Amino acid sequence: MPTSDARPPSPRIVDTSGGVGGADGSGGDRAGELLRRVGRGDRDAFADLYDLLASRVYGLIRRVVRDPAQAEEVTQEVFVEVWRNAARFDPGRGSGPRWVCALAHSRAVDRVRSAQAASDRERRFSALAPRDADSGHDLVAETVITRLEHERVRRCMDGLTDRQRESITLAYYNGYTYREVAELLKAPPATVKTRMRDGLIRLRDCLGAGS
Amino acid sequence: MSESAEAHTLIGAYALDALDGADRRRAERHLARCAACAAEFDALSASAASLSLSVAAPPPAALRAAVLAAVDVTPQLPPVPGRRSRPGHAARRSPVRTRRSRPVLATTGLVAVIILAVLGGVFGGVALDQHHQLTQTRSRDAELRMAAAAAALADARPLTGGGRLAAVASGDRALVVAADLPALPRGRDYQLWFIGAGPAAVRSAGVVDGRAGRLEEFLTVPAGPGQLAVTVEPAGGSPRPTSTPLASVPLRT
Repeated sequence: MPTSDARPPSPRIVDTSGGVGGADGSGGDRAGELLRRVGRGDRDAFADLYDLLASRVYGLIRRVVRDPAQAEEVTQEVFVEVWRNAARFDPGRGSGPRWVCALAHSRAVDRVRSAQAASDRERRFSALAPRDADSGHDLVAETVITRLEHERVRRCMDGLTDRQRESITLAYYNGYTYREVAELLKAPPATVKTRMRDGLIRLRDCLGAGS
Repeated sequence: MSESAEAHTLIGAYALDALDGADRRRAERHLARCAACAAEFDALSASAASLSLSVAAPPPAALRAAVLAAVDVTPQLPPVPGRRSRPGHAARRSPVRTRRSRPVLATTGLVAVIILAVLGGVFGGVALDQHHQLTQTRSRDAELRMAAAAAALADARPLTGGGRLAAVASGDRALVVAADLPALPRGRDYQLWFIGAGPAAVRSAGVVDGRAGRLEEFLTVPAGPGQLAVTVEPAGGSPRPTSTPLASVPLRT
C-alpha cells in the first residue's frame, strides 16, 4: 500500500494515552475500535492501529528480548498476527491495547525462552542478578511517548513492596518463570507467586483509582 | 491447600506469562472451570499490560512499511463462533510454529526441492521492481525458508551441551540450520567449520553469535565430500578450531 507510507507520522500517537484507561477496559478504547475494523479487513484501520500501538509493542518486546534486531522481527510477527486474528478480538474480555500487548509479551517471552537451553539458565541468572537488583529505575525508558500514563504506572509500581516489584519486574520485563524468579531471589516459589498476584492486585487498584 | 486453591494462586504468575509446562496447564484448567477466576485473571492481565507503558519506545521507521507490506499478503482468519479468545494465550499455539514434524518422506529429497524453490525465489525476486510483487516474493521466501529449516531439522544431530545442527547441500549451496543453541558466556561464540578430506582442509564457515540461539543460513560450500562442524571459540572466531566439535553433520558423502 504505497499511499499509507506517506501518512504523516501521526500526532495520533499521543492517543496512546488511551493506554492505561484503555488497558483496564474502561472507556475510550480507540485501539479496540480500530481492531474491530481491522477484523473486517480494513487496511487503513490497521495502519492507524500500528501508529497507535507500535511504540508500546516494540518497546515492550525490546525490553524483554533485549536485542533490537530480534525485537523488530518479533514486533513484525506480532502485528501480522494481530492482523490475522483481529476478527477474534473480543472487547468483552478487555481493551484493544491489552489484547495486543498480551500477545506481544507472550511472543517476546517465547523468543527469550526458546533462545536458551535449560542448562544456560543459571549462568544467565548470575549475569543478570546485580543489574536488575535496582529494578525500578532500570524500567524507565529514555523515549517515552505517554509520559503521564507512564508516570502513573511508575507511581503505582512505587506503591508496591520492594519484593512484589522485584518479582513482577523479573517476570514481566525479563521473561523469567516464577520458579526461575524464586531461584534467582532465593525465595520459596509459593511465596513468589503470591507476591506476583498480590502485587498485580495492588497495581490494579492503584491504576483503577487514578482513572 | 487444595489443588484448586493452589492453582488459584498461580493466576498472578499466569497473567505475567511466568508459567510454563505443567504449571501453565494447571492454571489453564483452573481458569476454564472457574468464571470468577477468569474475571480476576482478566483484571490482573490488564494491570500487567499497563506495565508496557513504562518501556514504550518508537520502533525504527522502516518497520512500519515492512509490517504493512507483510499484512498485504497475509490472509485473515474468520472469527471463531462461540469461542472467546484470551489475549495472547489463545493464539499462542499456531500450527506454523509446530516444532516436531515427523519426517515421512525422504527428507533430503524434500529439502533439496525446497532449497531450489527458495533460491529460485531469492534470485528470481531481485528482478522484480514492483513493490507489491517483491513483498509477496519475500513473504513466500520466508515461508519456504521456514519450511526448509523445519524439514532439515528433522535430520538434525544433537550438540554436546544442547542444541541441534542440520545441514543439507544442494549443488555448491547448503542450508545450515541450528536450533536451541544454549547461550554462551560472554566472550564466546559458536563457529562453523567446513571439514574436507585432508588434514589441511579445515576452514571457517562463519561465526554465530554466542547468544543468537539459532541460525538459518545458506552457505556456499567447497566441492567434494565434507562435513560441517561446530565448535565454541573466543568471541569473533578463530582461524583454526581450538576446541572439540560439539557436533558435525555430513554435507556431501
